Amino acid sequence: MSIDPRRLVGIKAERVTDVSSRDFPGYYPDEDNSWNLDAFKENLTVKIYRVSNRSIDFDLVGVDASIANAFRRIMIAEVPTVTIESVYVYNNTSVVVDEVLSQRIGLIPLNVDPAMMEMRVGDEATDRNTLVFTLTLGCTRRKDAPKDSTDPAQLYENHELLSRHLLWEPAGEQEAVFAAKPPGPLNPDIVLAKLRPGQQIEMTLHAIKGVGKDHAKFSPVATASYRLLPHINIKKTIPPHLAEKFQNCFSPGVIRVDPRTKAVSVDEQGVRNDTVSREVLRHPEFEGSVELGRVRDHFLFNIESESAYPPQRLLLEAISVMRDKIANIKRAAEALLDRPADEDVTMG
Amino acid sequence: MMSHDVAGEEQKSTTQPPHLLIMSTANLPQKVTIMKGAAPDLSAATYQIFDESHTIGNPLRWMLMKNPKVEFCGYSVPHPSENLIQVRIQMYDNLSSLTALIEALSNLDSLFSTIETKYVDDLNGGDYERWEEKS
Repeated sequence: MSIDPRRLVGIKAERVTDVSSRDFPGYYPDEDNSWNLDAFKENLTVKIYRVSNRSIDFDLVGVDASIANAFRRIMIAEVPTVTIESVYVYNNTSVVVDEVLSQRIGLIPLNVDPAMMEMRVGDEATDRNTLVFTLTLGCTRRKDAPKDSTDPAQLYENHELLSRHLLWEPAGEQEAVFAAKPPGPLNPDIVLAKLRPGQQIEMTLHAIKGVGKDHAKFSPVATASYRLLPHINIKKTIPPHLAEKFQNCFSPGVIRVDPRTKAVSVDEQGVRNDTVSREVLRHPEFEGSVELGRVRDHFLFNIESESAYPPQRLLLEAISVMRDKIANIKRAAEALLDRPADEDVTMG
Repeated sequence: MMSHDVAGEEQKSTTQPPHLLIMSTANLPQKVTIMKGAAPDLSAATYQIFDESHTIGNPLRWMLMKNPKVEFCGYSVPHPSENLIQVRIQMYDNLSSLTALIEALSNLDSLFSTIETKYVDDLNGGDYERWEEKS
């Protein structure tokens, strides 16, 4: 696969070259490079590779790093989720103190689709912006426990406070709105505290909609990251007796060695998994025979959802947040058109 | 979006995201202001955008630089404790930087809608590996 050398970031033994994008008008003589939507459409590729119930891998090709980075930043910090924000403790005689337990409860991912709730404005809680849960548990001794047992599960009833113990208290129209999927934790088995006989917990919890920039518990993703597609250019033929050594300089599956001729080649699918470790550049026998790089506008995204959003919906949510942002700024900028001469401006 | 909010009544600003209204009920700064020292014809100006960060600053700077009428464009986050960015735009031929800013915002919007369309197309095409991940 030959690739336009302008798209490559050079990876040398001790430095990285050509990092910045140069696709601006005036950079290359006799080239336009100004914004052109049709050319962008033509050039853009979005390809989904793998989707699971929790994660998605896709390629975004033909955009600037600033765009890819905006997606990453929005998915981490600005796509809203619903999470427990207020904890009212009536009784807590466990060894986990109130504030630590509250912190742990806030981190429980809930299965509530954020689109079904509103952002709370001010202090007023309504059935459209707040979900109420109760959390009540008391640990007792089991009478029928085996004599010599040391296992808490056999000895005690309710020895662990789990996320499954969250009990939703519907209010107002919520019963009908959330009928299809009653609010609760995404994972029922999160241990919140360990209890011993006589210890009790009684709490009321309020969940609201929020964003990750306010508190990381609102972030809908476990990771949202991208890397650039690695590129390996073999410039000289590798001698057959060095083929295996050459192959071992890269991640498994990146370099193919022909079993008969011992000729080496780059595996086009495998190269995606290369770590670009630069091991090959350490060996004098390979000097000048290979060039490493990464493709500047080819982003390999990996997103893991840790929220009610299915992973394939996260990019769409990020785009919608971004477009709202743009519309908002545009409206404010257009308002300035009417009075461009600000009173601050005093210039002769 | 927030049509039947009661608490937000007296806070006149509709341009601010609701979560900020929780923190402060005082008058919030305008979303976009032109900073002191701009040329009267706005051929060179610095715009202060409140409640924004690198997320919009960098793509906006990139899109403005794609405009051949823009002589210079740069942005900064002056201080991490101030929730704003500043975008400096200088134009050729005494053209208006405000027009360029609005045009760049429109272009960015069409860029994101293009990505959305392509993504949805590929998602509906269904040509990808599906697998089950244990939690």
